[in-house]
Amino acid sequence: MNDYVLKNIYWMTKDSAQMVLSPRDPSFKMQFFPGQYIALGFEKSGRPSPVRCFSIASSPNNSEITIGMRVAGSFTKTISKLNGGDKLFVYGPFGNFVIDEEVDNNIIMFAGGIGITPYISMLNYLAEEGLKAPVTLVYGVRSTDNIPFYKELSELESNNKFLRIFYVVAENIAPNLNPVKFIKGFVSGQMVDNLTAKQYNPFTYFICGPKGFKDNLLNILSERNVPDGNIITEEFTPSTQLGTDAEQEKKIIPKYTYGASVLTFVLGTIFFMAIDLVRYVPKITNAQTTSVPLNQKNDSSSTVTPTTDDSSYIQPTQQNTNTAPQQTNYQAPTTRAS
Amino acid sequence: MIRIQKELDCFGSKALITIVQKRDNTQVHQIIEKIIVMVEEFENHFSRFKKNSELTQFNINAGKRVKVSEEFKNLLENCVKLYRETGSAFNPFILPSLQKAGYDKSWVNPTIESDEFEDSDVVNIDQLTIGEDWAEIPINTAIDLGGIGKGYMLDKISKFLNGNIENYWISLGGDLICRGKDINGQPWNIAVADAIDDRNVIDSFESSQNKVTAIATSSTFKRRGFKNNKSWNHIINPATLEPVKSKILSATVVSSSGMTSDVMAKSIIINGQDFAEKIKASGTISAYLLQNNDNTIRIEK
Repeated sequence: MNDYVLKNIYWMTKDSAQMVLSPRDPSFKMQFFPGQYIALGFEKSGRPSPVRCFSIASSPNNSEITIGMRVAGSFTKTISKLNGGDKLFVYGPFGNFVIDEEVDNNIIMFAGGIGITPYISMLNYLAEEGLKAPVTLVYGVRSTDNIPFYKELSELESNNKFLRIFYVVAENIAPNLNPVKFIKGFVSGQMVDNLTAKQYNPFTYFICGPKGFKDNLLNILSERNVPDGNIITEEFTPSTQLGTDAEQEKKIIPKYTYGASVLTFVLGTIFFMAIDLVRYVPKITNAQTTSVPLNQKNDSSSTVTPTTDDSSYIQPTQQNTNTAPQQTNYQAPTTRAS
Repeated sequence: MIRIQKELDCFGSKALITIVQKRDNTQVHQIIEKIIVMVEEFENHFSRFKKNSELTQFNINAGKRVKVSEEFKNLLENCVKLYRETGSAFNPFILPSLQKAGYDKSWVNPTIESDEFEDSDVVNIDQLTIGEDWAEIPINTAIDLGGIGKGYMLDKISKFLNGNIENYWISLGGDLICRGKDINGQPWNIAVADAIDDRNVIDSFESSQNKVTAIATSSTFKRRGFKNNKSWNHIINPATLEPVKSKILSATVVSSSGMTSDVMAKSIIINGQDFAEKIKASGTISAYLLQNNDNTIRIEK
């Protein structure tokens, strides 16, 4: 466990926020790989709160950690009301949702809602280190007036010619937005065909979002015979499925037995960490010898534990009609910046 | 009707010559060959990445009266005119700032460096003196014709073709000039590529009937890099002498002159949307499209 304090909370949209955490020891810098997550708790009336997992949005080059969250459940509502300087407990890092630069040469990232968070860390890190692999991010959102990390993504795209971003918008698209970048509908098989020109296997597909979003994409990729080793997934569980405030209090911190609650908490944490260590320590150990995170593709398609707090997201059903320009021998008149 | 298309490398980019006419004949191919020679000659003459070009020699001899060719004089006169029309957003003396920012190597072949003028001064257009067959710039200054060259060349080719070829479009490094009709007898439909991913088309413009239509796009997204831990792009703001920081990611301009479209596209990125509106209202340009950093698009046709 590491001690942090809350530095700031930025509201990105009406229901999503970034929290910036500073280590209490200014010389401490958590070692993690872009795409990993932490478990976060806080101090509540002198007692430790339950923990929840959140993906890291910041680059490992920073000593401060930024997380992204959708403020929907009781836990996120509570921590969104914490004050600057409040004490936070950070466990981790955890997870295997990371890029292997030596293997992942062509990357397509699919993000659903606040599932964008681990990609922000990856893209920040890749930008800082000099992005080399072409990356396409397909970001599913409900409407264009509610896009977490939109400003950061616009800047990243403007500064990286290898990065292109498409927003797939389920409901409302604001007028005057670039129709190439803002596509009405849902992530579809046709979109995957267009992005890959039906050459599916050279790509590594990252998927992070709610279960429906992830399952739909896994079906799309499976129908196209994409090998499991080329698919890396992360799923997050809606906070509303984690129980109400009252239930959590009952389960984790009985009012009359503080000692028992601490014991439960510690044992739970050790159990949780032990599982992660058993599953991931060999890869993390290997990765520490290189500058870029390593990831074993052949077992990476498995679902990882919840990372972010989001309650719901689009249910992909429609086919998108956006098509890539047709290539012919004749080159049509086109003006482009050179 | 048949369509003949030829591609060549020039201006650090691709050039495409496309001609549509009733039948193929040797005259068409001779015309295409002549255009290729014209482009190559122009590049040899006015590239700052070529040591023996007239431009490089002119810069090396800053502070002296230098005998210049008719074409160079014409280019310099156009520089003066466009400096005034853009409210100094276009300034050929900007070269030192461009090199200081990082654009000191050919974009296509990074092993080719231009002469170093990083420490030269940036002055205004009044410091350029043009005589009968000579011109002079102050000592320790240098000029660059990169912002005007492509457009100038397109206008030159267009003049050459008019009277010889009815239907054509020519593109030089993304700027384009056209006249007449396409192979289906329709006006040319010129696509505007997305600044970030130019495989995508965000809109299109139709060519004018029986008139030359020139379209140019400029963007801060292309020709950029990092130097001394700072990002740079190839559009220098003469007011700050730094690479421009603009809300506009890319500007596409339509006018009847390649040079006007080329220079105004860059100037709009520097001066902003109000400037675009102003020059459209004055008739200097006929249409524009702005792709902004916030992913919005503004089109005035």
